[in-house]
Amino acid sequence: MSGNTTWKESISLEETNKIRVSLGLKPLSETAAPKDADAQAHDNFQKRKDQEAADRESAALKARIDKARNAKERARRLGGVGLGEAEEGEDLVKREEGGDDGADTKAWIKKQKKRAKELAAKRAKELDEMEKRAAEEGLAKYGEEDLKGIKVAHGEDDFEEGEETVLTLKDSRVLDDEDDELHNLNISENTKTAEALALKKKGRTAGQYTGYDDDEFDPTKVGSARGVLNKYDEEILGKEESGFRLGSAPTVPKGEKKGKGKGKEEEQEEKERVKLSMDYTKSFNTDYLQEGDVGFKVKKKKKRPPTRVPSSSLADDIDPTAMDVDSPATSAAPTLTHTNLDETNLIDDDDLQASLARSRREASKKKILEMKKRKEALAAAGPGEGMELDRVKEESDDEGATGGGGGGGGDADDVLVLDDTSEFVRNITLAAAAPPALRTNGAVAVKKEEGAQSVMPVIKAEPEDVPLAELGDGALGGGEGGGGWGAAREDGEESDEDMAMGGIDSVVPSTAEDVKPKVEDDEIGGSSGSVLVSKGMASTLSLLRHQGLIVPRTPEELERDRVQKEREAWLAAQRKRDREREEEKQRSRAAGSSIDQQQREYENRMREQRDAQATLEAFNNYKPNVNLTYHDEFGRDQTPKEAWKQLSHSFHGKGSGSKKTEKRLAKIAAEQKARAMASGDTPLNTAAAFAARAERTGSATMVLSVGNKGSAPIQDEMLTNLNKPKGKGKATSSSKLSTSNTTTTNDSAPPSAVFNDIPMRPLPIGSPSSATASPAPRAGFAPVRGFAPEEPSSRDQSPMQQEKIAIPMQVKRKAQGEANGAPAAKR
Amino acid sequence: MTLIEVIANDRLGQKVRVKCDSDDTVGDLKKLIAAQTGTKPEKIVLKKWYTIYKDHITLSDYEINDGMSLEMQ
Repeated sequence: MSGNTTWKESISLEETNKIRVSLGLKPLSETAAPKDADAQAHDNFQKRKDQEAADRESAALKARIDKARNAKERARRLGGVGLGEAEEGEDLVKREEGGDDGADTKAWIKKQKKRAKELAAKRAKELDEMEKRAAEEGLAKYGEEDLKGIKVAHGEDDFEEGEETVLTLKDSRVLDDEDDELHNLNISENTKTAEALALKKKGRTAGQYTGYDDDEFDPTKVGSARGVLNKYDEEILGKEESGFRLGSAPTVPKGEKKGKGKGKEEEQEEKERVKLSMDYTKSFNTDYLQEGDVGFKVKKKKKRPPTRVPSSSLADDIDPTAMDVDSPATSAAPTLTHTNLDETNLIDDDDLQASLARSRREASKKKILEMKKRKEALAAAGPGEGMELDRVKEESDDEGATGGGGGGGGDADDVLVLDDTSEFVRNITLAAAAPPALRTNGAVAVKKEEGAQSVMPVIKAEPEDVPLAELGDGALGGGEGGGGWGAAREDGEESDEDMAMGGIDSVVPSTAEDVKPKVEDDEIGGSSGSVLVSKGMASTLSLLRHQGLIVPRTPEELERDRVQKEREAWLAAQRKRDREREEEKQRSRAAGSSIDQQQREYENRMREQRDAQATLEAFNNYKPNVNLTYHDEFGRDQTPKEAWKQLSHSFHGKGSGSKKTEKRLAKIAAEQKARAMASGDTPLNTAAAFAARAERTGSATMVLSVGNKGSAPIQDEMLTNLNKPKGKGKATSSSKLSTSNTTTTNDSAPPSAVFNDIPMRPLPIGSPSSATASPAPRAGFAPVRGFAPEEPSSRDQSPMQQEKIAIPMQVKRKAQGEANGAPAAKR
Repeated sequence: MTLIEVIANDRLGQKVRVKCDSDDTVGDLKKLIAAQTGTKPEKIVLKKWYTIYKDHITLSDYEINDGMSLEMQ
């Protein structure tokens, strides 16, 4: 740091203060100069040190004062003469006697002896006094009498003779109010240890059930019922206490009792007594009520009637050997069984029922066989008579059955046996009989027509089937025979009806199915197109079909149609169901006032449930048939491509250009034309034209072009025909030509192309179809001129001439321009 | 409240030693410097490195002790 002289700018404190005051600041003071921090710290340290020193001094002073006080106190307490201090008296005596130290010691010993004597005397005296005092006062001493009756916790064996044992009062709870009990700590410890040792000796099985009764076995307790295992003895009976009371008569503990002979005998005697008592009934406890208890009831045994008797009688009745006899015997049997069955309870015995059923079945089978045999025999004898006899017999049987009673037992007499086997057999025979019957229908019908009344079925596959059915009709009108036979009867009737129907069919062989094909054949055979249209819808349809405008229906289509019909039926059913549902709802609403809310809700719920179920069932066979078709503005079916194009156009609001539209329209027109044309013709009726020409010229051929140039042949006669009215000569020449009937060789040049396969059938030129929808010429071609048939101009011509109608025809067409679709011409 | 001496130095030839109080604000110090150097107090900027001292804060708050030097502009 440089000194003040270097600091020109430094000003004194006074000047500074002046400036400060002028600036409005408080003046600085020299006194307020800062104190040195170190000095201050030193001061503080010094101060602290001084204080500590003062404190120490005062503490020391205090301690000294206390020490002095304590010493003073001690001095005050310890009065008297100390061991080392000589008695004042002795000191005085010694000083008086003037004896030396040795004599002094001797004297001290003497004195001590003397003092001891005195003390002993004093003590004896005191004792005497005490005894005297005690005797005088008669003070009660705590002695043997006081301990009388006090309980000792140990057994008498625990104390050995001649040994002192100190007994103390055992700890016991104050609140338990127990007697005082004496025990020796050592002995009780010993017993505890012994018990623990015993437990340890048993090992793991201590206190567990071992399965052996070694521990349980007690020879003294033989014959008496043990309650529980002996490991529970402690819990039940409590811990065995070995103890006695002081001053009481020596009691014999349990363990010792066993050892003593007399006690043992007595116990044994007691046991014997218990064992010999024969009152066992008390010891057996049952859960059931016994006689004499409240609520005890005795069920009386019902005596069951003997059930084997009727079965045996039945068996006798249906003895196979006895079945050879005739109907009277068989009719007698059911009456017997019936009476018997009435008496017995059939439901009682299932075995009996089974056996009865079996025997019944066998019997009826036998009967059927027998009847068959008889019938065959009769049939062999004579057909008419056989039938008669059969009928008679059956009637008699029926009567017998009805007379026998309408009960279940009556079945046995009847030949109708309803079990699965018979049903099976019956079905087989029916199936076998059905086709031949159909086959023979014709014969039967013929016979009927002839008027033969005795109809003898040719096929005897099931001879008694029909009669039986009839019999069922007669006898089982009440429906006793069962549903199986009812069905069989129906079958029979159906077969009868079939037979009749078949007969009719054969007699009149002109039902729709048979005839139709022929008719169609006829129509198609003479398919000259438009002729048939006028006949009616059917002919029109057939025509269309023939032309291919109506595609014949494929099996798939038929199937689809069938499905569609089903669906429509289903829809109708659905609608009907809906209507019914609605009606029901209305009804319930109408009846709503009468029934309460809950009932209505319940019904609603039930209805909904039912509806849901019905809907589920209805939709079981729901197979929707979706077939998307598109049509254009003319109603034509569109292919997917066309449909997409149309959709696209309508979507974008911009159609195809004029050229494309024109093309499409032309295509549609051509299609329409093709549809309108006759079946055997081209859209331009070229075939018709050819035919007409052929007729006119009388030649089946036509020259299309001649020579290499492909120029049209010049047919003079045609031209002349066109130009002037037919001359006779020309006509004859043409007729000559026609009569020659050879391929045309009119021209010198050979024909390059000859049509000779044109159908020569005369086409209906003036037909309505061709007349109304005369096709427009193809684009780029001029219409054919002079196409219409010319009426014969002169009436006066001969009929021969009239027949030869000449048709002018211009074969070659003049091309006006390039056709649209024509290929580019070769240059 | 102690008397301190602060050295203000612009490196252009002016170097003043100013006696002031530690409780004085920087603004007061500037006035004192201005009185001593003959400039305007509002023209003085006191700073130490890049810290420019603000007028309303006391010297003790800036921990400006006795004998410290400030840069003056």
